[in-house]
Amino acid sequence: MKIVKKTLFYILASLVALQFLLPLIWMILSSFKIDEVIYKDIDTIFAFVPRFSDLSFDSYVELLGFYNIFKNVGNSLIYASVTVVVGLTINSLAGYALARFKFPFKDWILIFIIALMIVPIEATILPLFLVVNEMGLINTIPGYLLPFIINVMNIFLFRQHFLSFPGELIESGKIDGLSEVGCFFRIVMPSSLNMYITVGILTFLASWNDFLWPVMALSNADLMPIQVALNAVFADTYNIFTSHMMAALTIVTIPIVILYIIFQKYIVEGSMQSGIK
Amino acid sequence: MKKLMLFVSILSLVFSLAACSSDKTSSSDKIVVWTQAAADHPEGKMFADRVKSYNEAHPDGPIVEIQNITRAGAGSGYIDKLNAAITANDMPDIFTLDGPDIGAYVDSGLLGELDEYMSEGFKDGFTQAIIDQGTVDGKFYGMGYSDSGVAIMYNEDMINALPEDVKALVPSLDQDWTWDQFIELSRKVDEFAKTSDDPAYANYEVAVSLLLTDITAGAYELGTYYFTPLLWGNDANIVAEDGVTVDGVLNSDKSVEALTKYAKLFAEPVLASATESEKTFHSGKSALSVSGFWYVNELINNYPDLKFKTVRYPKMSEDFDGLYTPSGSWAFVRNGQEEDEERIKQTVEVMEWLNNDEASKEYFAKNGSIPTRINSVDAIDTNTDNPYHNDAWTVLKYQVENTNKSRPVSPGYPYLSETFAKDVILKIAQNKATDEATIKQYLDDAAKKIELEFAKYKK
Repeated sequence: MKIVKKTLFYILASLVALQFLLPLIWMILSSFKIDEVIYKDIDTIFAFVPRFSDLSFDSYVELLGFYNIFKNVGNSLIYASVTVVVGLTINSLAGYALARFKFPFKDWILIFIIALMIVPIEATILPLFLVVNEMGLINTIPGYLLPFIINVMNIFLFRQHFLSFPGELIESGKIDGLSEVGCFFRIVMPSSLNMYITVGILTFLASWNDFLWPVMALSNADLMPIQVALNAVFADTYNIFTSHMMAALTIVTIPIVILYIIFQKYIVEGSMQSGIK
Repeated sequence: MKKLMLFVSILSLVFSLAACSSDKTSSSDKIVVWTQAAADHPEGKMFADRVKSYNEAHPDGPIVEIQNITRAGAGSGYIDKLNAAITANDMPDIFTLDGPDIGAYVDSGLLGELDEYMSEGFKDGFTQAIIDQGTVDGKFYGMGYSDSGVAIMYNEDMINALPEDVKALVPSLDQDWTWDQFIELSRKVDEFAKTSDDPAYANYEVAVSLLLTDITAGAYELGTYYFTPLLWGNDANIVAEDGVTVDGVLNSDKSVEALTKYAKLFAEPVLASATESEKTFHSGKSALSVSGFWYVNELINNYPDLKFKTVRYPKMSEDFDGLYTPSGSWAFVRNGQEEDEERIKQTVEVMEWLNNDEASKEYFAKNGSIPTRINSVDAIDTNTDNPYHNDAWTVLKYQVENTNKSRPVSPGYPYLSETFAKDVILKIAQNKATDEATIKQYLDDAAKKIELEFAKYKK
């Protein structure tokens, strides 16, 4: 009975997994076909099963001839990495202070931070643009990165995590002569690695997938991240190549897939902790 | 603690230094142009080349700098940034707008008129449809740098499989034809497809591809762009000359009559579908297609096995001699908040450079943008070694020169267009509404809805 149950569970789980995987398989396979073949196969099994005689690298060669996708991928990697490293440091320090220190208006600050979490990004884009423009930072990398270094959601996540951090560890650090800052960097941070990786991945994905803010904050084509560059491929009126779109999407998806494979345990954990699906 | 202070200090210093390098545009020595075309895209490259040649030809004038703000879909991203720049009072000197949006921006006082600053006769060099597209209340605001067009394409193999008497219904590429003839041909094609086992019809789904799925997907403009000509061809329109009166115009008897003809495509057995497959015509699933000019490149480049022929967009009646074929595209406009007369003159001079005969030819050569200048239409090469290209461009060229008509100018155009596409064009197809009373009801409802929205423009 147990074996039957288990077998049924795995069959069902495999079917659900396949449902999520099929679009990805179609995308990757389509990137190796010409448009005519993509739409010829679209309602057949060959949309998901390779027919090697129809596969070619033409779409990749043509796409990379038109667009310097790798430059934009590089930009996105740099922006996402900087946002993760600087953001994790600042947000975790803020979360730590809110969790462990006593200072005036602490509760009000926390309420304010939680209240900010419900404001959608689209509602803040225009004021953000006005502020950054006033600072003279439009079309600069700092102007693009600064508004998203500090993230109220991440501050809240860290605060929740540090609330349950064992105080005895910090006390023992202090007995050994460490300052409060020393304790944070030498004890709290290394012991909270899981949390840092989880929040780091979520931050990385948010930065990687951002489209609206870079369009608003940057004008220089050389500085554009990948999501903006992708739209150049998609919003083409004159040369509509589905195969190019699929090739571009495949290139863009690779870093994310690698990230998922390496850190999948933490992503699931992070989703459970943060409530993000 | 020291390390932390050091870290924060370095971080602040880095950001401060970077902020110092901010590239703020100095208004006196630069003319800034914003375009929705990505820098890597052929359209972006053609503008960059054009600006470069201007700067080389005018070494003593202000430097022209082009900035590419990518758009997503119908223009979001670019339009968001434009609206933010308007709010921040930081508009570029010149920017691009989709033709039908010009009315709304003029109504908001954001665009500067061009008539009194242009060189003598420059405006007359544009085709009539492009002049009309850029004109609001008799004043010229937008220089279209590219036109567009719609024609009927048919699958040569599928048409060749038809009996001779049916094939005779297909016009030649230099022949006008009517919606009645088009519908009759579609009906014959459908009858043949259902009884024939000809291999050309192996994938047959529907007689005509109308791309109505684009409206469902949110690309509303396509519905208005493709099908308003039915009304034009019947001396009707979706809005009055004043741009704000809809009741009695959109829902006039003439409109009902025109759309009843369109509705025949959805009478049983249906000849067209609101839910057609992806790339219906491209995949040999339909024999006929109402096709935008972008199909030409797409089919030649991506569907080498598809033999397609092109004929003119149908008229409502044989004796109609007005303008009626779809047209219009993006245009250059200038910042209307600029008050310095000298700077306005310099700005318009740059706009002329971006839109003159030479530019128009260049844009066609580099990006296939349909010329908007009368003297440049001949740049369209109809004698290449590709007969499908030649046929298509012969038809499109004829329409640009003779029958293209601009979409109506209205401050509320986006809402007008969306409502007409969704509540009339798509609804008729989805509900297969073929009787006059139902179509009249749809038009009345749409007119009522639009009138409510347009009340703000009448105050």
